[in-house]
Amino acid sequence: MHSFLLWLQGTSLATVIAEATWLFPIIETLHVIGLALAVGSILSFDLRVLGLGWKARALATLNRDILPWTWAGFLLALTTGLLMFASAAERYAANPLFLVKIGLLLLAGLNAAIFHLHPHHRRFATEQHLSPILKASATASLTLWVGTIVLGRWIGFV
Amino acid sequence: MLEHLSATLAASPASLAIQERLWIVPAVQAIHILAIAILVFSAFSANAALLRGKGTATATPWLPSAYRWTWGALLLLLVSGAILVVGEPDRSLMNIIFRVKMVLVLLTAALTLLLQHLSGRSGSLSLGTGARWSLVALSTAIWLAIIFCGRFIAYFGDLSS
Repeated sequence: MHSFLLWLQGTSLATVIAEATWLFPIIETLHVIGLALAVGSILSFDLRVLGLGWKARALATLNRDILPWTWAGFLLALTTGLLMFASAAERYAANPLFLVKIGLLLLAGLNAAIFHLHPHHRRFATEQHLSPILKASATASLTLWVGTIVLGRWIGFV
Repeated sequence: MLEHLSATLAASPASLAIQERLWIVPAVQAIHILAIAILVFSAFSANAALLRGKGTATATPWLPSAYRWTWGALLLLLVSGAILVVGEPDRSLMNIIFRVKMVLVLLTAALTLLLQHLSGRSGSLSLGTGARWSLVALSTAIWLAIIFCGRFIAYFGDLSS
């Protein structure tokens, strides 16, 4: 593992990101834009499912209206996140907050998969059946994503 | 003038209290980023809806709530941003990029008001395609520029030295 991290941060791309004055801030800003799109859309989705906001958005079209924003933001955040990780792989891998953040991200992904693959999700669009399981999943999603953002910011201070 | 304000703020009890408690700045920055997430989705999805033009009002009945979330998030950004300025006045007030960011925030607030007013109850813009796309592109570009400024303050633009 350690030799992989050393190889990764020694690649020419990682070295350029680490050494060029402008590149890291640009990638970091694109990361913020990506996570803002992903997390902003997910939080809005969850609040609508829980009936706490965006009530004018129809549940029937919620997946189609919101999920493209989520995927676009997630792909941008993932790509830029990997680039930033590569630039200082050893340092990030040794940061316990970074590891907890990755753990929360995996849990959030698992939770999203449960939400969308659960049999209750098929009846979700009829607006008649927002089961306690789906609501619990939306609550878990809110908590996990807020936790990810908090840890993501704290990484810079440790 | 801003140099004097920065020095006064830095010596204030509120600023000293924030500086002494090391958890406040990262916690408020995390709230700031959450507000950015809410704002970006609300403002960008409103802008995308406006691109659809007139005659599709039924497709975006949620446009007024998108603006409510945008303004709510902007308010949260101003409050959390103000706490960060009080905690680290030199880092913000004495940075040229921060000053540009504040001008852009005023511009985008005015532009959002204009778009909200023009879209009104119909939930669409009764403008030609060119004007509609230009206004939406300008609004999106300013929001993106504000996010760039917010991150670049940490790296460039320091006027204090």
